[in-house]
Amino acid sequence: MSEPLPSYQLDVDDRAHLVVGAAVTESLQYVLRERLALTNVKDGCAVGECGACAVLLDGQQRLACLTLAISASGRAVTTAAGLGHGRPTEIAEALARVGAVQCGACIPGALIATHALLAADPDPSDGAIRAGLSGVVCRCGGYGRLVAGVRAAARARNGVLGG
Amino acid sequence: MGELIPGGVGDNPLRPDGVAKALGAAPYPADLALSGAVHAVLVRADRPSAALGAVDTAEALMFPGVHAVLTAADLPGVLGYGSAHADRPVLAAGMVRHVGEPVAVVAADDLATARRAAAAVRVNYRDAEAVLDVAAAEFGAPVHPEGNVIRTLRVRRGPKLPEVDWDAPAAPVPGAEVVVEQEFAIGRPASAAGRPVAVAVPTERGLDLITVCAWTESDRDQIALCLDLTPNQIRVVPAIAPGPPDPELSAAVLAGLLALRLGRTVRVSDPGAGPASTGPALRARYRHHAAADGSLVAVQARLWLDGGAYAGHTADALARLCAAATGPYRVGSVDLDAVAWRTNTAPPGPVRGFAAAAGCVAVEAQMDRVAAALGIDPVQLRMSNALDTTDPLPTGQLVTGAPPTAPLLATVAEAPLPGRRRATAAEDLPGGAVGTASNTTVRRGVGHAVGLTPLLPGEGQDHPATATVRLAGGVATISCAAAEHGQGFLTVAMQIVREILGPAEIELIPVDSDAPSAGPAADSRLTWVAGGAVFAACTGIATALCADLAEAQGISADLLTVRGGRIRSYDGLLDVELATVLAERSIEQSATYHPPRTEALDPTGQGVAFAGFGFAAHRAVVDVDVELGLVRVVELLAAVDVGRVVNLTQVIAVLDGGSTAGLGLVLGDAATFPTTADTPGTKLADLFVAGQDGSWLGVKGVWDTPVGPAAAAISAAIRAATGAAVTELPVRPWHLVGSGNAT
Repeated sequence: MSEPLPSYQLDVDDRAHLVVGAAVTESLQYVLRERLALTNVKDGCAVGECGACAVLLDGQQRLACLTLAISASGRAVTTAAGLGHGRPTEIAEALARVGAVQCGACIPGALIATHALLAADPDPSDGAIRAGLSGVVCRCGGYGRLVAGVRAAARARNGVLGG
Repeated sequence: MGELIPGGVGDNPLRPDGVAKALGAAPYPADLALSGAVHAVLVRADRPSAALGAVDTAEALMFPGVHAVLTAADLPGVLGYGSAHADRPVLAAGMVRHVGEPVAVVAADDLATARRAAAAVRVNYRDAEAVLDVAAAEFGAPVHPEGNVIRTLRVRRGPKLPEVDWDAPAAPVPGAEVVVEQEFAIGRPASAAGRPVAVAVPTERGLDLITVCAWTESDRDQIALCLDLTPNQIRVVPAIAPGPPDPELSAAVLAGLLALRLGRTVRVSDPGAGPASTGPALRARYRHHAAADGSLVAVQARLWLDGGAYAGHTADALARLCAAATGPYRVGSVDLDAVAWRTNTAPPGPVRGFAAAAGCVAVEAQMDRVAAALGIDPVQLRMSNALDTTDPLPTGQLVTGAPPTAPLLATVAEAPLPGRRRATAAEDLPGGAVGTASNTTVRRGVGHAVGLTPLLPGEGQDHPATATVRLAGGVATISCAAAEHGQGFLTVAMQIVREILGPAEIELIPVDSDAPSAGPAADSRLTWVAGGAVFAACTGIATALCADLAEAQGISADLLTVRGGRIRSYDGLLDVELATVLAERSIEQSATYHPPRTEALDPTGQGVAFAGFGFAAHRAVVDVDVELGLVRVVELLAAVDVGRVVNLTQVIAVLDGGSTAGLGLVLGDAATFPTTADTPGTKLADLFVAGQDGSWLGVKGVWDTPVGPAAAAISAAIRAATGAAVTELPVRPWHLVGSGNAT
């Protein structure tokens, strides 16, 4: 308890936040939620099992609960809300449209997982969607809808791109 | 009902909160009161059964920033709570009865400090004998001063059978050609509840409590008793729920207690009690006696249900189990000895329709065995025994309307099977993307199942719902205290209002425990009962405005009907907007809806105990790697009885989720949820839309209905692929390795 507490900057969804007084052991999930009040990063299990707190770190999918906050300093943190720069992306709209959003607690993490999947594979097979979303635990169990939503989002994107 | 009203009943409007939830903007209770609040966590027991000695809080209290460490001795009110039976302590006193039982609460300036201090609370336990399996409850040490029996039901129906001697080999009863006996051990899957979180704010009148509730009024009354307050000193504000609420109220009570003591806003956020159970939650032994033509002469069963350390809703669950215990089939004589036991396991969290679902798995396995014993096709056996309107359930109740066992089953059985092709991608093989399985050792199996699920709280529990609708200037407002945790009730309520009143805009008024009760969010109840209240409030407004118009026009109001915001006369000559009749006025109507009356089961387990039943049939196609024991569900096809469809998108989503819950019963476990790697999603073969008797517009719930048939069909498919008995759930790889069809 006597070691000095470093202060550092976190860049979240294109905004800079100064973190002061946090222990170096605090997770990115804890710092975003408890210190910066950025609660669009969800708290599902805090032990890496449920996928609800997923964010992009320099474009790579990461679980915020298993990432040390200080290690995210100097890198771009993107949350579900930041994917569309404040506006709903076609992924969010597609998931809502097909009925994938029930209690909704897993969906911010599912948005990040979908974004990462489609960035790597713009036209994924159903098997690839299932593998790509397999880190998302939906307690309502609506996985058929989740896969349908990702498929619809991929189609919407490819349509926009003329693919 | 004529043409569709846009956004009305039968249309498919989107839920109002979908996009906000997707972006993370919807505040769940864990997202509230983050700055300036005191943060608290629970200290939970790490053992199943122990005398609780001194709880040493001195070290925890020395942490800078710690405000309080409280134990059972600090609780001001009654120790026990429970909506059906108040036997569950807020904090353990004297005895610890399950792993994860709350023992103390630690409050500090921030969550990290509270967690560190909680780890420094020293609890002295003296371990005692633990009952960890329902099989040990009868002769084990008493778990609770009330004893180990929560409820016994001895169900006897039909021509009297000699008492079953479970120790003697089974012999066919008179009239039967074969008897099939199996034992089942079915584990409870992971609870869908989120982590316990509650925020308490001291107010002038007492407390505001923001938490996840299944039933705000009942929670308020229980919390008030525990805090020695009157109910009107507490306002319970239901938070947006990340899944269904857990019945454990410790977080809410302790948030309130700390807020009162410290005079500050307090948030309790806690990892929860962990997985509920160690042993199987249902142990069942069944004897099915069948004639040569396959007709079921008698079914005898011993059903032992594990209720955990406290009664919870297990007595009710036992009645559900018994009503559904022989499936949707005609049976000559029924003889059930059913007992709900206490054990040293955590009381079950919300698991969709578990009791009826576990019973369905056992019954359907028995039906497959009877079919095999008689050389009859298993689907045909089910069809020929299908329950009809004159065939009583084990509890003597008749299913009104035509029980759709046969049409549902035919729909899934007759659908084309998915093609069989050599898997080329690892994710198409059992074991998934890890890539361990091989095409050469994969066997395919197909299984069918059908089941019925009791709907609504039963046995004379009325639990009415009240809703208030107001119409003014083209805007309708809805107040209803129903707990929405993703089922889609808010969408349904808005559809009912559009269907009748057709307003330009609808506002949902946030409600708390000061509003009239809407009853519990349980047992597939909300669409039927809380929806009924919204429906009655809207029809009340419509009737009043018809009367106004009839008087102005000098005609009889009986000639007028209201739909989609228009009043029309029977002959079509009069067609007026409600808004025109209302003009500058406003109108408000509250209505209370009571579900159909039910009665408690009598000493022989007979009675009209449930308001209705949901039916579903599933067909599962699985691939099993018989060397590794890994299962992949290739296709899950469902046909479901849904009453009138209010919102097809939501029905499909709930059906998908209920079927996943069934899959979790087979392939998950108490700590593990299925993910997209485990399920192909549920394909809907058909909906059976015969209206439910005694319900508004014939609607019924569908939340719990798919669980049992999905689990039973997947079990049957694994059985078909491997020859393994699949009488123990969850299925583990070692149950299947080297099983019959492997060579």
